Amino acid sequence: MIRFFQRNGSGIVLIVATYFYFLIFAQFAFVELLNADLTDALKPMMAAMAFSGIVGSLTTPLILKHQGAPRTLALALIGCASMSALSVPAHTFISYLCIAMGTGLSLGLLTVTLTANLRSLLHPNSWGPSIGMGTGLAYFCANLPPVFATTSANQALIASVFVLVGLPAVRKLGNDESPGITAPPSKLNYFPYAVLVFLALVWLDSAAFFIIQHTKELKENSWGDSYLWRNGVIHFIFALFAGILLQKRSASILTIGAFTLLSIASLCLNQPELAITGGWLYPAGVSLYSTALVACPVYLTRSKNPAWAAAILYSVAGWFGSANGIGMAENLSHIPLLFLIIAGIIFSLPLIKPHKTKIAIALGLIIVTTFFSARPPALSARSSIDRGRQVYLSEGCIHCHSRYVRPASIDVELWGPVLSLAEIKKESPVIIGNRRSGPDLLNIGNRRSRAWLKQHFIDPQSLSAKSPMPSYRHLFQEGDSRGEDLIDFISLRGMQSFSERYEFTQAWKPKPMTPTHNGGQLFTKHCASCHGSEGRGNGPLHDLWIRPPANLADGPFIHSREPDTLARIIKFGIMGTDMPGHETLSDDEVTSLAQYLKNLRSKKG
Amino acid sequence: MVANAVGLLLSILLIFPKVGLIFGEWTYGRWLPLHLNWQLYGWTALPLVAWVFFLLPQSRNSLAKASCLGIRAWSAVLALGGISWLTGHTSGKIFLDWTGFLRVLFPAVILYLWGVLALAWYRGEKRNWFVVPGLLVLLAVPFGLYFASSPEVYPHVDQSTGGPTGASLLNSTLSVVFLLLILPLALRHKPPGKSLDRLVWGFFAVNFFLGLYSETLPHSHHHPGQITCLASLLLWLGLLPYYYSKQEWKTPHPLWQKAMFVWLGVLILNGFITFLPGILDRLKFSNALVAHSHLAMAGFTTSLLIFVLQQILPQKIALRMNNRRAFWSWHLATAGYIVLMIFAGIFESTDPSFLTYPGVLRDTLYGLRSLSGLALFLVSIHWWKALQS
Repeated sequence: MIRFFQRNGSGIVLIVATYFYFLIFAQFAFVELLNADLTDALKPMMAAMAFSGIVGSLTTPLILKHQGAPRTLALALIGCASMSALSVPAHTFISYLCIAMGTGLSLGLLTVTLTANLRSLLHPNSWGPSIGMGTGLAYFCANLPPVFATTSANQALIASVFVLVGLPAVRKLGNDESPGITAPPSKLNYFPYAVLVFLALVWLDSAAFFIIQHTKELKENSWGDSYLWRNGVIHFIFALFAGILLQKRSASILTIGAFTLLSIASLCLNQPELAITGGWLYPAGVSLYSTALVACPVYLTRSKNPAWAAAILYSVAGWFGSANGIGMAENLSHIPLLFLIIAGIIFSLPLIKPHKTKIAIALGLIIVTTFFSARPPALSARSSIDRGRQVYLSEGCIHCHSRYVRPASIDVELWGPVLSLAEIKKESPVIIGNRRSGPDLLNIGNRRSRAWLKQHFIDPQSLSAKSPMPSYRHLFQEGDSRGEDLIDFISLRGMQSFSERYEFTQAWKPKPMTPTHNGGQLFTKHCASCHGSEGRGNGPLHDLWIRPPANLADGPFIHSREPDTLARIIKFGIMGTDMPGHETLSDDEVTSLAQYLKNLRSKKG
Repeated sequence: MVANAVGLLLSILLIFPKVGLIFGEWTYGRWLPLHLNWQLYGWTALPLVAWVFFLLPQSRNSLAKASCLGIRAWSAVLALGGISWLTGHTSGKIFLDWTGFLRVLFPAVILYLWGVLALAWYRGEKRNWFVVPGLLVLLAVPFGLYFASSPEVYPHVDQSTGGPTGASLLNSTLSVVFLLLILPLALRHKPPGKSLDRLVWGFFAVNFFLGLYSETLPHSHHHPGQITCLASLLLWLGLLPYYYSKQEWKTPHPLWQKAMFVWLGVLILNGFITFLPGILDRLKFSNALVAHSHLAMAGFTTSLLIFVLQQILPQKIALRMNNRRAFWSWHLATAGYIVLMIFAGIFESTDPSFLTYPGVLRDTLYGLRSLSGLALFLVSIHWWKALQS
C-alpha cells in the first residue's frame, strides 16, 4: 500500500484537488453565493462559465506546447484557488461574471492539463485504481457533512485550500515519465464514439443533478443530512471499483453499467415513490462514469495527442453536455424516455457489425416509427362495459387474475357464485385467465365497491400492504375514461350475482374454535388504514369513502350489533358499502380479529 | 436472451411492484406477453436459424439469401409484436397473441418460409416425393395460426377446473412426440430397423386414436377414460429414449439429448400427476402451472432445440453450446425454479392468503426465483457470445 502511494500519490492528490474543486465550488458554492446575491443571474453566469470552460479546454493544448505541463498546471491551480476565494467578497453582476469566466477558464485549463499528463503521475500497473481512488476520495470529501453542510462562503474557501494543496504535486509532472502504454482494447478506443458516450452520460447526470437540486423532497431524500455519509461511501466504493475494472480492460462494460444505473435512477427520480431508490443508484452511476471520464484521454482512447483528446472530450462531453443536461431538466422538469432511448441507441452502436449496418438502420427505423405511432387500442366500443373489457385485455389483467369460479370448491366461498361454462364462453374473447397472482375477478363487483376498486387501482399498497399489484393511476388521469370503464366491466357480473352472494354470506359462520392469532397485529395489517390504529375510524384513508369508516371503539354499531355478525363482516365485508371483505383470512384469523374488536369495544364500554 | 431479461424483470416486479412505476403505462401485464411470446416464437425458432447456417456454407444461391430474409422478417415481426403488446394491443389469447395487422403478417412470414422450404425441395437433386405430405401438413401451419388467433375460437375447457381437458393435453403432447419421431427422418438418418420403426409408429397410431377417442369423452378430469387415455403417454418415457439410442447421431453421446429426455420424462410425469383428480382442482391457476410451463420451455424445449442445433450446425460451432459450466448452470437454475414454483403452488392451494397478503415465505420463494432467473439470463448471454464468436 505504501508503495502504491509512493508511486501514485501525487497523481491521486491532484485528481482529488481538481474534482473536489469542481464539485464543491463550481457546482455548489458558486451557484448558492450567486443566488443569495442576485436574482435571475444564474443562466447567464452558467452560460459564461460553460463558454469559458470550452475556450479554456480548447486553448490548453496550445498553452501546454509553449509553457510545458508543470507551469500550466500550476497556473491553473492558482487560477482556480483565486476564483473561489474571490467569490466570497463578490456581490455585483460584473464581479460574478468575471469569476464565472475565470473559473471556467481555469477549470478548463486544469482538467485538460491534468488528464493529458496522467501518465507521468501514475504507475502503469496501477493507474486504474489510482484514478478510482482520486475520484472516489474527491466525492467522499465533498459529501462529508462538515463540508457539505457548511456555508457557501466556507465551501468556496475550502475549495481554494484543496486546489492549493495540489500545488506541490505539480513538481512530479513531466519529471518521472513512465513508459507510454497503449489503451487496452475496448469500444472506447475509437475517440468519436468515446466522446458520444461521455456526452450522453454527462448530459444525463447533469439533468438528474439539476432535478435533485431543485426538488425539495428529492434533495432531502438524496442529499439530506442523513444521506451524506451513505453517498460518500457509495461514491468511494464505486469509483474504486471502476478504477479496478478500467485497469482490467472493461471500459465498455463500465460505461454501459454507468448508463444503466443512471437511466434507472433518472426514471426513479420521475416517480416520487421511487426517489429513494434513485438516491442509491445515482451516486453509484456517477462514480462509475466519472472515473472513466478522467482516464479516457490517456488510457481509454488511442488518440495520438492526449492533450487535444482531453480538450475536445471535456469541451463537448463535459461543458456542452452538462449545459444541455441542465437546460433539458430546467425546461422539462423530468428526464424524457425519448432521451434515454436515443442515448441507449448510442451505446448500442458498437454492437452493430459493419456489414449489418443497413439492416440495423432499417430495423431501427421500423421499430422507432412503430413505437411512436403505436397508441393503446382505440376504445371504439360504444358501451362502457365493452370499452372496459378492452382495457382489461390491453392491461393484461388476465395474466394475474382469473374470471372463473370452480364449482363445488373453496372458490365459491372466496370469490362468489359460479357462472356456467356456456355463459362464460359466450363472451368474446373468452377471458377465463391463466393465473391467480391476485383474486378471481368474476364477482368482484359484489365484493368491493367502486370507490374501493378505484383506490386500489391507483395505489394498491395503500389498501393491501405488500400487494404485488402494479399501480394503474394512469387510467384515471383527467380526460381518460379507461379506469372508470374498467371498473364498469369488472363490476358487472358481481351486480348480477349480488343476491346469490348475499344469501351465501348470511349463511356463513366460522368454525367454532379458540382464536390463536394476534388480533391486534391482524387489525393493524388489515383494518388500521381506514379505521385508524385505535379503531376510531380515523385511518389515513378514512376520507376516501362515501360513509366514513365506523368508529370500532366507541360505536354506534349499526351493522354488527349482534356478536355473530362481526366475523361475517370481517370475512365478507358489508355488501353494497365500501367495507371490503377479507375472504382469504382463515377462520382462526377471522375469529381472532373479531375477538380483538369485541375486547376493543368492551374496554371502552 | 432478451426474453429471459424480460422474465427476470417480471420476477422483480412481483417482489417490488413499485419498480414498475418507472415504466409508466408499461405495467406487468403488458410486459408478460413479450416474455411468453418471445420465448415461444423467438427461442423456439432456433432450428430455423440453424437451418440457414446449414444452408449458407453449402450454397450462396438465392435459396440461402431467401432463407436469411425470412429469418430477418421473422425477427422484425417479433420486434413489432413486442411494441404491439407493450402498447396494449392484445387478443387476450395466451401464446396466440397475434392481433391487428400482425395476425396477418406473422402467418405471412411463416408462409414465405414454407415457400422457401418447398423451393428447396423442388430444386433438390433427388426429389423425394415422400416429403410432399409433410410439406402439405406444414402448409396448414400459417393458416392454422391465423385461425387459432381469432378471439372467437376457444378450446374445450374442463368445467370443474377451468383448465384444459385431458384430450387436449394428450393431443398436444402427441404432437411433440410426433416431432420427436420425425426428427431423425428430417436429419436424414437411416431407419434403425424395421421392427423398431413399426413398434414406435404403431404405438403412435394407437395413441393418436386414443387422443381422438378422448375428445368424445366427457371433459372432466374425474372421468376414468380421460385419465386412462392420458396415462398412455407414460409409455413414451421408455420408448422414445430407446428409439433415439438406436439412431446414429453426429456426436456419440449427445449431452443435450440426455438432458432432453430427462426433462421430457419429468414433464410428462408432472403433467399426468397434476391432471389427476384432487390435484388439478387445487393447482390450476397456481404457480405450480408456472413450474410446468418452465419445465416445458426452459427444461425440455431448450434441450431439444440445442440438441437439434448441434445436429444441424458444423461440429466446430455446435460444440460451443457444450460448455459444462453453462450446461449445469442452466439445468440447475431451471430445476431450482421449478421446485420453487411447485412449492409456491402448493402453498397457494392450501392457503389462499399466501399471495394476497405476501409474507416472508412468499418473498423468499420469489427472491430465489429471481436468482434462478438471473442465472438463466447470464447463461443465455454466454451462449449468445459463444455463438457470436
